[in-house]
Amino acid sequence: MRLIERISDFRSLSIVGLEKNTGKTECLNYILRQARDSADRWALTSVGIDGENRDQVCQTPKPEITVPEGMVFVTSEKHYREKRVVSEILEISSERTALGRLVVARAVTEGKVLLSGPSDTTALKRLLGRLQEMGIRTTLVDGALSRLSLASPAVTEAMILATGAAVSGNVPELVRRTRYVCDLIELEEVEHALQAKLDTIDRGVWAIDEKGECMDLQLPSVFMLDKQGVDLLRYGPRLFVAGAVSDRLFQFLQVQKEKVELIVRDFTRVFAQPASYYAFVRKGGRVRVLHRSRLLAVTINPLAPSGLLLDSGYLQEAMEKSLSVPVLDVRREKDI
Amino acid sequence: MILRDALQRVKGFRYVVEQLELCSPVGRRCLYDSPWMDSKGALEMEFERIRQVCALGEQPASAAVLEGVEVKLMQVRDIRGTVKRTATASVLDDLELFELKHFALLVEDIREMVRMWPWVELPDLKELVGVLDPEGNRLPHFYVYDAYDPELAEIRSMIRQRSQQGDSEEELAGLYEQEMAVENRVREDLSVRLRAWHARLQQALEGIGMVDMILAKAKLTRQWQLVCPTVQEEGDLVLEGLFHPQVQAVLNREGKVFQAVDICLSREAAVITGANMAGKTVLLKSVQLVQYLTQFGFYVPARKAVVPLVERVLTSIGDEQDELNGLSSFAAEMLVMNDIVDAISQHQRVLVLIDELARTTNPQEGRAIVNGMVDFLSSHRVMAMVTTHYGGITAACRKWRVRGVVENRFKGEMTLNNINEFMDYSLEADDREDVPHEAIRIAWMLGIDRELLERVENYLQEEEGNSCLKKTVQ
Repeated sequence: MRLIERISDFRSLSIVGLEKNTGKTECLNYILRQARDSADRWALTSVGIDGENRDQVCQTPKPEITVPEGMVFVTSEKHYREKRVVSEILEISSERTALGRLVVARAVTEGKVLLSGPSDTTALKRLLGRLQEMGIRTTLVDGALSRLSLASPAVTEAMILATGAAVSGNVPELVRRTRYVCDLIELEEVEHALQAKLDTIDRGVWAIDEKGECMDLQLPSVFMLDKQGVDLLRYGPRLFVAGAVSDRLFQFLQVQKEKVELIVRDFTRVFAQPASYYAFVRKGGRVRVLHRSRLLAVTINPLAPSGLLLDSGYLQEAMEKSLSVPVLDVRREKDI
Repeated sequence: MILRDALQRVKGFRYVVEQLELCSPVGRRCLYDSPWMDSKGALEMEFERIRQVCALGEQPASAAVLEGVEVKLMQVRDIRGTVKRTATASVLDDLELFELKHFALLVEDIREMVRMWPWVELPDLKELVGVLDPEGNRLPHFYVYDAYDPELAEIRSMIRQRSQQGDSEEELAGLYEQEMAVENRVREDLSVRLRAWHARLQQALEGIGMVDMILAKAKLTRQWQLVCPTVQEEGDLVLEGLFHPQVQAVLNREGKVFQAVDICLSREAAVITGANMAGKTVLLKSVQLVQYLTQFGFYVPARKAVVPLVERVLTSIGDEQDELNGLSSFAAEMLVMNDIVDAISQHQRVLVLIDELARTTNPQEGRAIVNGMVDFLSSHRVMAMVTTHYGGITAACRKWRVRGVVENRFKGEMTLNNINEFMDYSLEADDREDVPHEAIRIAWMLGIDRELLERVENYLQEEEGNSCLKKTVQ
């Protein structure tokens, strides 16, 4: 089945890059080209600011987003005024971002646009819901994998991960790091009842007992583990961490006698090195998430901003051996 | 004073306003900017509008129209800024043109739905919709349509054709520029045409705000069974079946009932006495609330209400006093009394509400202060209400007593939880000089420490013994 057909089975898809310059925007443009024939069933947005003409960090040229004729897109007031596409405004949302309100518009002719979108997860969820009401089948989200971003792409049903030479010039290392993020993306979801309960909690460390009751452990942050001197596991081996999870927590849990089940909001909340995560898992620990996106594919960009060019075929092969999802180089793919 | 300021001052009023189900930011603004009205005519007009909308709510057919209007109102955005810009020489951008079109379409829809309501004045924006909807599809969308300029359609179809042929962006740059130039020309032209609509757009914003506000007031009136106050320039304040919505809501939540009361204030100070927990402060606040609601054009929480109009309500209610500016509570209270006296001396029409005057000083001087203030209020023929625990108020006034604890009103022993059942909150005329002595009884009931209360009672007996002794000596 072509990738585009698989995507259109989902109501939302985010495209996230493992690092800057891993070809996320090229991947998005690739999908947009594929979606051209059914453009009016698709919408396009972003989390946070994106679509700058030049990459803000490396100053490498960045492909702009080309919206096909008929497709709905969402961007901020500021970027809407700067667009280079003839488009019809359908709605101005009352939702505010740093760049003004969000504008929902439909491209009348094909053209280029700078994308920006909701600045937090709940706003993104609301927007996805609204677009669905407007008759959109699938919304594409230009995602960001950054601890600075308050909007998590994990609220989309499906996901594509872009990786490439920008992450590492060493192929085995690049594969390892990509594999790690894929493993995190595919972490299992908790049962529905618990998900609903934990979703409303936005801070702290909680214990979940056998009956599914949640108890606040009164720990302001997981960074204060050792100072507390309390038994985190006194209510049982299930923990929920509302915020970020670091190496420290994994190392701490790994030395506990019990096999711990750690629940996090979604994979973007895990900020630990692969080594400490895998060590925790090897000891019988388990990590689960409240929200999981289905990983549909990994795209590779063999070119690094430094000018380094890896062998695309070799890289793809190495990735495919390690991963359980399709791997493609969007620059080479004609038809997937 | 506008309503926005009153919200800060009177908590009970803020509670009522917060319960209003306004549909749009435009309605909220209209409400918050409502002035304190002291003209009988203006108020009666407002009450008539509410009455008409309430009547519409009674009939299923017209109630459906009301609901339809609400749905439309919910889509209205506050586009004051954009409307303001239509008066200037600036060129409006697509976002602003979209806002205006979206708004004009809603106004037209609402105008059609309310054409049978005599009190609504909405300007006809049909032509404006035409200007912003050249293709006539009546959708609330906007862009610089091909129909605005034949050249536009031509350039756009050329761009489309050539990009399908695979021309690169660079090759099309010239065409894009041309297209942009024509678009800008159209926007400039539209902006000039829209200038003529500025006044009507402004009027429409106000009209929509007013519809939203009246609908919300009427809805609350029906939900809470509020009554239309009879307003008059002079005369007595007569309230029957008066209740305080916020306190009532709290009681209802606990499964209890609020006892509505009757009260009449004339141009003479009314002194209210009664046991602790007998609801004197709530009564005072209810009267204050009725006056505020009336003069901001709301129906009021009572069975019947006759409300003389005043310029200001002057209050001294302990828990609302600002004690942060370095004054003792007594000093702050005295300064408020001074303000009240000032206003009265300037012959302002006022309603004065004072809760437990001079309660923070010794009873002897306190009583004298109450007497003095009551004397001043009565001799200036001010409509006023003063609550007190002091006996011996001899100044000219009308005295009322909250009936208070009535034995056998309810079965069982009185506790903090069921005190409500034992209390009779209604007022009775009272010409005695002494006041109810139920403070210690209520303290017992509150479960205050036994040792403490026994000591208190010893002292009380001692005092009573002394006063008996004095009487015998006399």
